Amino acid sequence: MKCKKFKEKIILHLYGELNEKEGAELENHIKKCTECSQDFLYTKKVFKALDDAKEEEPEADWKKCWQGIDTHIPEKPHRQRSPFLSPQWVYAAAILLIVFVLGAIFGRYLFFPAQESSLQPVISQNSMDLALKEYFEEIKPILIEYANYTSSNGEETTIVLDKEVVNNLLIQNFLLKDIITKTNPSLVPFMEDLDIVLREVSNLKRGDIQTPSLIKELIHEREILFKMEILQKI
Amino acid sequence: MNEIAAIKLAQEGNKEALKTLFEENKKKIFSLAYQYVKNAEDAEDILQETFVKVYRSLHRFNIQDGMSFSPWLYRIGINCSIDYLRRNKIKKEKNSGVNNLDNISCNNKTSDPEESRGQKEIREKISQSLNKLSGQQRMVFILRHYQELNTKEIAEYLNCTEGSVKKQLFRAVSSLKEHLKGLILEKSYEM
Repeated sequence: MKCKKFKEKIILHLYGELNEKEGAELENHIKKCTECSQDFLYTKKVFKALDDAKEEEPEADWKKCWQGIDTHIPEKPHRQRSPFLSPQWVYAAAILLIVFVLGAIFGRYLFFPAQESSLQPVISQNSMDLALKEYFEEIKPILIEYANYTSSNGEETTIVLDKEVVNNLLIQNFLLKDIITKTNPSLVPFMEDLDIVLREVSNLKRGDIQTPSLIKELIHEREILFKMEILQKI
Repeated sequence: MNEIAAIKLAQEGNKEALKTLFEENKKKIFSLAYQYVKNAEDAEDILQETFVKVYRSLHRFNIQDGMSFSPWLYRIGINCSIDYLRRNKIKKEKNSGVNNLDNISCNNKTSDPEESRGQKEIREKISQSLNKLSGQQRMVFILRHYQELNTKEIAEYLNCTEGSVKKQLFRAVSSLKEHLKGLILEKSYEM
């Protein structure tokens, strides 16, 4: 085992690759060990034989060599390209993007089929009820005003309303109706009645004495306040 | 034209600049390739392949990073030689005897017919022994024995550890020693 280590070192020693300490250690071993001593002498002979057998290198046909190179290199100047702009990167990025998009599409339908509805606005029943109640609270005073339009002595009263408030109520009605269509379709006709009333109120012009009576009739005919009362209690 | 200027121009596609680099380094690469394949024509092919590869990958050579051209070129030459021999191994094995003997007769240094025959035999044995080594072992031996690079430099060129280079060198020399045993003992080489 020890000799194998020295046999390795004999080669390195002959190539001059051992430091002083290693060289001295090897030489001491060779003096004591016949096998390594013989191996050292034999390796030296092999090295000499290798050197003696070294051939003179032939001269190459340099002109032919250059012509060979010249025909194999492109005519156009070699441009330095950023590795990020090389086609391989573009293709790899495109493939990754396609895989990602396809993965997202298939993954969504495979693993989360019910999530389609999650793209729609998520509104809980409780918050919907609350929104409706608030909406009814806002619209109720206007409806009461028109429901009581005619005074007891037969004289017509003037109802003063902010048009902006009415328009806001119309917008709210539109939005709530849109949600109700999906969550509680039975309420849609009632919301449409409210919509008609609000539109009439919104279109009222100063001096118009006929329309408020029509609105009053509409409120009574469709039992809007009564229905609203029930809905608020539910 | 100095080396750095030639490299910069060659990077821009200037063939004359590449020719300058070729003229300055051709002998070194040819010598390495010849020692490795032991055939002048094959060595010429390797030399050409090396410089075509140099031209194509010169854009990756960065002078600003303090890279030296010579070791970089040498590394390409080493890889081209190993690849070339690997590709042509079967062909080489078929023709190795004929080629080597041809080369030997062409490059014979001695005029003594007796000595010439003896060296011919030794060269043949060396060639046979080198053919039996793996590409890497063969290259390690060529770089150490004929190109006179130290094991640390060889490790850098071959991108492996110095310990691995030493092991491969030991195996290569041991194989040569084994093959040449009869001949050397017979001739009792003088030290």
